[in-house]
Amino acid sequence: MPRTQIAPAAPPGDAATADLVRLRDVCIVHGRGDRATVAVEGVDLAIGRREFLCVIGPSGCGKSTMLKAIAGLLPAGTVQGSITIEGRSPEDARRANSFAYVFQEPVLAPWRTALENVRLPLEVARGRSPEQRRSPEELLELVGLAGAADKLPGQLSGGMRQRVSIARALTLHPSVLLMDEPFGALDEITRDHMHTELLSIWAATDASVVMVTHSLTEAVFMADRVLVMSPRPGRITAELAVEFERPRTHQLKSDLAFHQKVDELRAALEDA
Amino acid sequence: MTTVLPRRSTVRAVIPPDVLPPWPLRALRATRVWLVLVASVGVWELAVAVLDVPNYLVPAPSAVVRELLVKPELYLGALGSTALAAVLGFAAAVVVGVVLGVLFARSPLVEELVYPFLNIVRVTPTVAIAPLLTIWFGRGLVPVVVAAFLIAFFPVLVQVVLGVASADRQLVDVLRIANASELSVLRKVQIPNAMPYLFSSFRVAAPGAVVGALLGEFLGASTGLGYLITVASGQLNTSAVFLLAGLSCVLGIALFQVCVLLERRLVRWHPSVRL
Repeated sequence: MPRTQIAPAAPPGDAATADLVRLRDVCIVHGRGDRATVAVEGVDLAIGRREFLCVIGPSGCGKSTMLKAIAGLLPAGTVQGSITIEGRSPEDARRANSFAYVFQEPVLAPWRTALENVRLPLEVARGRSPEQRRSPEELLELVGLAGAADKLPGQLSGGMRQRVSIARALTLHPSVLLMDEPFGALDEITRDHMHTELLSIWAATDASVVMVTHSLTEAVFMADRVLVMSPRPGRITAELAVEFERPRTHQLKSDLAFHQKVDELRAALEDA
Repeated sequence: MTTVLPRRSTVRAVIPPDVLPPWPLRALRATRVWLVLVASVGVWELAVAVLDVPNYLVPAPSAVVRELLVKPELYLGALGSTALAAVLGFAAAVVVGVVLGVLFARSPLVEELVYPFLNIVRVTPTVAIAPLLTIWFGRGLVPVVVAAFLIAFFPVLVQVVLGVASADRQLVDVLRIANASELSVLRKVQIPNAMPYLFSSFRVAAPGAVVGALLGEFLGASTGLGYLITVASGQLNTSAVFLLAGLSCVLGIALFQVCVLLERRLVRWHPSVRL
């Protein structure tokens, strides 16, 4: 099978596509005619390289739908406006393996070991050249699971499974990691641990992250920038820059400045 | 302030010593099923003798065994030919069931157009179809294999459709996002997901194939356990009928056990196996 060679830099298109991901006036409409409901309305958004962006909003505000639209997972005809990833349409970006997706659930294949699950995208992908592919063994080590390589998902804890899922998302060296409430199903202790874990994983890669969450502290702790979405129809109502120094540790969570930032975000959410 | 509790390194968990029951008890536990079997056969033998039951009504177990020892090549030969037909019918059912099942699960159109007709074949009792098989295929191995196939096929088909269609949608999305081909989605996710379903269908299909083969032989064959049953019952040779029923039973259990063993080896990851 012929493998498409991807030029690493200088994506096609105009100079305005210097942003990694660009959404222009995006509306997402489910259904047709009288039953049509607007899930997301008038979203304009640019995500830079190596940026960590969080999108926060109440349940059902369309933040996950927006993420799905970027990944091209929505049925044709539901998305209006333009979405580009590295200057390509979501469909072309998917073919080029430009992005990866992490769901709320780990969604591992229960018949494959941790290592085999991480390897899965490598076995099926057609978009990345060999030098753009990463070793599953190294990735498993990066997420701290080198010792659990031969375990089946059924033998791993919830947090370990989600780490396998993150390692799997990194195998094709994505430019963007789209994460839909990746820690939503974890208990708070594991969640806290995963926050610093993901930050150090992110620091070790050169991917941007777009993470949907409904946790205020999670958003402030992780992100460079937080977008606030309003409920039905989802619209971006506020944008908050978070400029705490990196690498961030749990110490930050007890800082006064951190709490002020969380309060600021809470106020923005209430206004939404 | 948090208080740090002292480590109780001196306290040891009390593990009860591994108490093994004395060997006679262990031996009894390991063999109790067989003991029940032997005892029932003993009671049966005794009852027939004491109550003086005529042989053509209920033969004694010893009479049944004697029947086998007198003409072993006849009965074992029949067992072999029925086994061959059942295995062939079962294998055909697995191949056709898997291929059609995958097609149905992946193409709603094919399912819509083909399934109703297959359903008609399914609800028609095989007893009603079997005479046709003899008319079409003569009195050889073929109609017997087809009868076995007809009974074994549907459980396989239904379970494969379910197994392929119930694959985790998000896992399929993970593959699609990685730009996997449809063939890869089928090979890496949908087929493995269908394996436990396939094996659970075998538990119904394998004994079903034996029933089908017997039925085929019953209605039109010149060898096999089913054929011998018609002959023996015509002669009121009840010992032979008992023996043949017993051999059919052994064949069904053997096929079933082979499938269970395969299941244990091949889908070890599934909770139904791990339990």
